[in-house]
Amino acid sequence: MKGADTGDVKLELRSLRKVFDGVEAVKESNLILKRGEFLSLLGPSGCGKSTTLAMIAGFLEPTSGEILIDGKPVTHVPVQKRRIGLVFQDYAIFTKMSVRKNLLFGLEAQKVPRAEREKTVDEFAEKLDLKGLMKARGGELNMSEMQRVALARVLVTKPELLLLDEPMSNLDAALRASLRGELKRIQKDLGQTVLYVTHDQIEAMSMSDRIAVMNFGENLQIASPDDIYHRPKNRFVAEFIGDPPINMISCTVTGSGRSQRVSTEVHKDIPFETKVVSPGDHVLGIRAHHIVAAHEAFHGSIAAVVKLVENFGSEHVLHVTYGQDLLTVMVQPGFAREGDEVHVSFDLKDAHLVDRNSGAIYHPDEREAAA
Amino acid sequence: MSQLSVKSLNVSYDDLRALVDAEFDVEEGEFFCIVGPTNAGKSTLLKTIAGLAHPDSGTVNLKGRDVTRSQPKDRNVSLLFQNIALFPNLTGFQNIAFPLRTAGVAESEVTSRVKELGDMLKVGHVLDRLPKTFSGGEQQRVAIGRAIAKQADLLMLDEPLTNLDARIRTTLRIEFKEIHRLLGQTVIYVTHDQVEAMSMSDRIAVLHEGRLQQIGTPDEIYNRPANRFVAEFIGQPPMSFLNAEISQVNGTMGIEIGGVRIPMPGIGQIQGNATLPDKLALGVRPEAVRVTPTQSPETPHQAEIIWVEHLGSMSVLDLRFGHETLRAKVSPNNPISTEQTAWFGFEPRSDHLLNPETNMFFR
Amino acid sequence: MREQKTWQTVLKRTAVIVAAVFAFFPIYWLISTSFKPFDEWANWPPIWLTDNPTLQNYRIVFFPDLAREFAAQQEGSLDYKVSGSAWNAFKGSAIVSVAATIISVAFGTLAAYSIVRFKTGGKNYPFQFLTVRMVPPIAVVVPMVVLFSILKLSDTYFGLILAYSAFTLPFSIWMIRSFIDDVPAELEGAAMIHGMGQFRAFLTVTLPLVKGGILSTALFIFILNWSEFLFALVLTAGNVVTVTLQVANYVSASSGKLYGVQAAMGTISTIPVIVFGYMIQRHIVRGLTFGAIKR
Repeated sequence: MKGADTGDVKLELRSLRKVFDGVEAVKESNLILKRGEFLSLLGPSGCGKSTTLAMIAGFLEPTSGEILIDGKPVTHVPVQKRRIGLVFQDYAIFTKMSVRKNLLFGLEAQKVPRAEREKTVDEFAEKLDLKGLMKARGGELNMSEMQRVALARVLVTKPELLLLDEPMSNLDAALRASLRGELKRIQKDLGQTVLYVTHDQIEAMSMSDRIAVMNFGENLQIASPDDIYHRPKNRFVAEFIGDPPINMISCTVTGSGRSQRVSTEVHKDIPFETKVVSPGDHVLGIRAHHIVAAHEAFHGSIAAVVKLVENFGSEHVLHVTYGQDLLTVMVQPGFAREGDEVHVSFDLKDAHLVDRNSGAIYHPDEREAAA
Repeated sequence: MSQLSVKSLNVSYDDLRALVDAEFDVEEGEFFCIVGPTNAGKSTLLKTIAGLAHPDSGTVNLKGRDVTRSQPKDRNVSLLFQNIALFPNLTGFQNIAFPLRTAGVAESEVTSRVKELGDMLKVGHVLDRLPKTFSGGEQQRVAIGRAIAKQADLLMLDEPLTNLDARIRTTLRIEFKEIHRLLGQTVIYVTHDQVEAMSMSDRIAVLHEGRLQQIGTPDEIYNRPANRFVAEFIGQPPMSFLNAEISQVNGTMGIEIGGVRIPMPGIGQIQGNATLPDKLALGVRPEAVRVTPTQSPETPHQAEIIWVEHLGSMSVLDLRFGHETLRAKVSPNNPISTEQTAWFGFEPRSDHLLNPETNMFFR
Repeated sequence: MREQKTWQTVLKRTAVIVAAVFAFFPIYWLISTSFKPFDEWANWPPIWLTDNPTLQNYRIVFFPDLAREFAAQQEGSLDYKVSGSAWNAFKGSAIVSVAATIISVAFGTLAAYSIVRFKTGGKNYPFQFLTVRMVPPIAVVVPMVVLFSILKLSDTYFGLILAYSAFTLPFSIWMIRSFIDDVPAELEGAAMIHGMGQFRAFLTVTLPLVKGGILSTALFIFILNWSEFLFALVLTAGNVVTVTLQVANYVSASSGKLYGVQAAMGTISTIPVIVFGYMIQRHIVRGLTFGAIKR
């Protein structure tokens, strides 16, 4: 036992790789999941997140690399001996059994003594707010209750690690919203370590302590939701996170080092030190809510025509012309109609300068720290 | 004359009443959205309009023509299925050409029309391949191409964006609107995602358990929902409901919620007060709630923040006061970022007063 | 742990080998016997591989005159009959099997389509079909003999074709049903929306997608028909002969123990079964899973 240096680490992936028919589904994945942490693997379909999960669960053998739980390698330990809880998209609960029997089932399978079984189930029923449902049969539950029972059934077995694979993707948007809070609360209360796989950025943003954004089998960035949103490391992360998607505006970089300047339609020759970006045509990423729009021209603004209005109830998103690009701008309901002219601008400090060639993003605050 | 007119339509499968007395009109050129949770009866409604499901009673009129008993092929409607349903053994080109060839359009015209659609939908490069080689977005675009290849009186889209990644969804949402504008076609769009419904439609019909709950413009639906279901279903995060009692505040009419008294002069105008029951519920949109770390004239009431959700462009706070929970949506710049004590305030709206017994808003 | 794995592998391989020997032994014995001369057919201890391989048995199969000659050489056993040539039996089997297969699959496709798309007969209808097939054939044979003789269908190609078609229809329906079930109703819906009637949509959209399945069902049914014995035995009287009857014909009533000839006939008539079986094995597994896995 290497107690001391692994005490805080629940799960560790060391250069984990998986190759299917010559295609690298997961590339050299390194990841550390701390005890009690909620970490999301986020990415589009086919990015390797489910493959990673399947390897951790033991359904897939890695091509190379190691998986450690509590500091012990489990790469060749069979599924049932890893003490991992799993909840899938199609959570199966027994419809003919009562909720109570459903919860007891996992413990029976683990040969937990009867008295202890009953006690654990009662305890979790209380914690998960299922007491009123214990006598109901699985088939009588609604979607939200079923999901909670499916989760509870796994939690009662007190897994070392809980793996959730898109558990909400079959649910309606409204139900998902309420379950997010609930799942996070339960996870916090129990101090349960969770690895959550999703393609839904809102789920990842709202529940995770940290998010690993994946694409083409690669971990692009592992950071807190806040950092992922405000300090994306590259173009893919910036574009994947945020709704409406971040605007990408063409810009030109001139000069180098401290005398570097950025020009866009509205901004001409603004000092913007980047260090890594070579002079030439590049891209500025700016989020819709960082763009200021007004009916009248104001200092530094440019006239724009509203091409499309998307109504989201509490706010509208305008798609406006900006040079050759289209910009999305978040405004109050009723601010403008299609065809109107508005005036827009933004503060360059809210923007991310994206290197057109490498896709890397250099951050203003890192820039200061470096300076 | 409406493009589509549905009158007291009832459809059932075995014992299940999938659709109960559905009644609505869709005008020419309109983008009409039917939104509701899973199993609300949305697909059944589309299939009945298309002629693929058969109503127990009621009528379907297209351009004033009763088509209730007509075959699908004789209705001149088009339907994009939820699971896309591209013919797997036909190439992209053959799929888009299908409706044209079936209608006996000359082959030279078919070729030029399919090419044109392929370019418009940015799928020109996949036309000679089979659907299984397409990406999700390409499949969807080819299916759209097939659905609009032949000008139909009515284009119906059944959850066309479900199962796609969020990014493609946003892109396609905007493309749909553009295609609609370009073709000026009457569109019925079915979705369970209220964001799609709100952002795309001219009018929305909210369907729940086979019954139409409300039909109106996005603004009407959002601001003046007919009942609790609509109010909670439309808008993200959803509207909060607080238990309220009518009370006097310094001589003016008001309401009391969880020990907090809020003046509400407009309350007297609702049905002459006498008919209002003692117990009411007040709906509050999260963006209407102001939250500050210290007391201010705009935020006179105290609450505990019990749950904070940071979503990047906004943060969602759950406020607890008395036995009530109120959800607030604030800008990410709001100084409150963790669970703490805070102060809040909002303007109660008299058109968001709900009768908790009937779950209908007072009007 | 390594060692344990090796042991498991050895055990698994052994099990596979035992199963394979069990399955292939009869085929091996059939083929080896078909090349044995008369005096080695029923030897004890058995002769595994003959030292004097002969084509005599095959000659007897295809040239019945030789067979009669051969029979004449056997002491005191001129009484048994070797009726007709094997060619006749092959012709009979081919006519009956092919015709009955086409009828069974054609009706099976239509019935399966109706069951899948229109829920004809309700939820349990396909099962009811299958239970019909679970009745032991012997139980229906006697009434059928009576019925056939009343209808004057006994010993006719038409009669046997009819019997075979009826008896394989449940299989056809069941297998083709599972293939049609794989085709989403929306595909036909799309074709109908885009200008086709229901039947045309079925013909142009669904049928091409399930043709592989229908073909393998057809081959499966063909094999069933080709190896059928009981109906052929009781519903014919010499006018119509099938390969299975022909094999039986080489059994003499008194003393002709023509095992070698039987084996030769058996070997030849097994060839199409093996060839077809190999061609469709992939589909058969799928068709016979009885819809156990819901997609």
